[in-house]
Amino acid sequence: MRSRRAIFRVLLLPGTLWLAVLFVIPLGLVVAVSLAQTNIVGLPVYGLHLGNYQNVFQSYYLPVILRTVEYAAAATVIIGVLAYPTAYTIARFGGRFKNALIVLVILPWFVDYLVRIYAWVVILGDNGTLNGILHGLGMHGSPPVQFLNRPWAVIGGLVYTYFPFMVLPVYAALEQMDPALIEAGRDLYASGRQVFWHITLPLTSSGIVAGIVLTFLPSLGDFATAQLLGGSNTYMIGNLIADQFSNVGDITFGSALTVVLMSVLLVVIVGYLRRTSRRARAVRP
Amino acid sequence: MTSWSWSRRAFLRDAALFSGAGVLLAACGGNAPAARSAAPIKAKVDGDLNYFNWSGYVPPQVIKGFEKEYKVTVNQTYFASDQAMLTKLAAGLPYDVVFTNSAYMRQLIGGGLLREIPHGELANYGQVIPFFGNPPYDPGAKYTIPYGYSPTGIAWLTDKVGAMTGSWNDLWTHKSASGHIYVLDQIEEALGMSLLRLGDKIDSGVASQVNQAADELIKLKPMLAGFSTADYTNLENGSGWIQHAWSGDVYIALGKVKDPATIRFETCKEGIPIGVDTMSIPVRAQHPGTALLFIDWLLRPDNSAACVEWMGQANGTSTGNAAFNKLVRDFPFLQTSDAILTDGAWKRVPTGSQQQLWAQAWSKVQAS
Repeated sequence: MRSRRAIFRVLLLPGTLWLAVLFVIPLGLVVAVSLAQTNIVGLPVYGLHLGNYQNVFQSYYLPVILRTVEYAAAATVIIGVLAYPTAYTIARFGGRFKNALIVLVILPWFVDYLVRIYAWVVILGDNGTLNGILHGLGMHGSPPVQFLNRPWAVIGGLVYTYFPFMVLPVYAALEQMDPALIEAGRDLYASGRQVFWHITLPLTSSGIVAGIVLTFLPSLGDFATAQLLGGSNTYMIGNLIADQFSNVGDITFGSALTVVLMSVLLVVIVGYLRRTSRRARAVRP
Repeated sequence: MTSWSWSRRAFLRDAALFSGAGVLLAACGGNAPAARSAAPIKAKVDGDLNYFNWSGYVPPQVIKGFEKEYKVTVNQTYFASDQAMLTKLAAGLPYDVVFTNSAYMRQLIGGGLLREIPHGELANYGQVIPFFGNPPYDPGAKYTIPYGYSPTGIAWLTDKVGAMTGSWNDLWTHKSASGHIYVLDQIEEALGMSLLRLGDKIDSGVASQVNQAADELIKLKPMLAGFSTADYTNLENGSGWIQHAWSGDVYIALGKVKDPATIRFETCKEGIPIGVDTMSIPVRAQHPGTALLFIDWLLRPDNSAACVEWMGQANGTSTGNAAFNKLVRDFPFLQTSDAILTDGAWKRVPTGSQQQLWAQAWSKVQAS
């Protein structure tokens, strides 16, 4: 028993080191930079300056925060509505093509993130593929439909990007579910709808919650989608942070924004973990 | 050919966003190298060249020619924004030759990041036009050799808008172009332009002026399609009817559209923003001799002309500028003269508390 525990401790070591070196230390640096000032070349001069945090809580950033939450929530809901039937169909009716279908879902991720979003710029542009099709359908002479630079373009981009992150956990939950439970439900004269609402959905709720966490949180921090598909009125918190590094060179303010955003995300994650651990305790005999 | 190189540059402008974390780490990696007095550099091969530039900004055949001539390898690394370039130099990365920008000289020279370039070691230094022997951003041209410049102005589609007046007001007054107007997504261009329009200095550090310039941009926002540095793409695909643009990118757009007569460009009477991409040798360079040879190689008349034809910008050498004016002879509105250099409004990115003032004003514009 004791020797087995020792082995597990050794096995934990690489992961712990990995997290410490590549996660905890950089995170500590971000916090330190958020409290620093910059010198003439833009490098941080460490200290304890709370001014960067005062700037975070300016009223003119409130619309950006609200918009970010709005887009991320809208994207998550749409992904949920689209991904659940996808995962359900694959899990229940995929047969021997199940694995191939799952690979198809994640296939776009084999292409670089930025390239995929650029592809949408080409498709949705004023002279783009979609407008070309509309034109061909007989809308000659009418001005091109403006798809880009609109909130829906950004939300659509988020849906496209994070869709697999909902399919996979929901699929895993559906796979774990015993199909006999559905048959049992039907044997007890439940309608298809009743079986879904009272058996399938509750039993896969852990997958849905995991999917929500995996899609909502990265959507909150996303910036490339709004940068490339959005316009001047679709600015998200991720854009504000990215701009501090790549455009205005205020890495201390960018770091303060990052720390605040991460703190908010942490609250969501801790809430999720507490929920799942309670559940795990509840099912333990 | 040229347009492809510029597409890549624009692509990397966007990709810059992704280097944020890396830049932060780089920034934390060390202190700014202090200016140190080193012996003057001699123009002789002292190793392979570590080259740091925008992607595709120098024609490949010119770089290959250098490798062949001096039997060295050019190791190319690219940056995606001037800000990223500054941060990496500040972190002390040992590049040998870097394409810096005049707007960042307060930081680069003031921060002691660059080495002096002995003009006597450059066989082709005589090619550099007199203005760049003593430019406002680098007195005595001790740290920089010019590579490319194109003034900022307004481009428009003649079949969509008319009655342009040669004023920055043109971005604000064309209500019918609403939703098809772009402003450059660069703090020194956007805020600088708004400051010029209000009659202030392009690099004003006065809080009331900077905030007023930001408020004017906020007023403009409902009419904007967005803030974008993909100026030639917006012109080419027709989404930008009125575009705050670099003249060099307008040249690229003219080469891509079916009917070049549909695109025009103007500079504005309140002030012509100007900046130069320059060649420098960082203090941390390990092969400054090869770097000096490389700079000299780009000044050589044939190479200088090749660079101009490749990127569609004037470059501050007598041969290069002549090649440029030949290149744009059909587009008089793109032609340049030394007057633009002497009378233009030189872009400068502020430092210290003024930088914070600008950063907050710009963030407010973006957030509003």
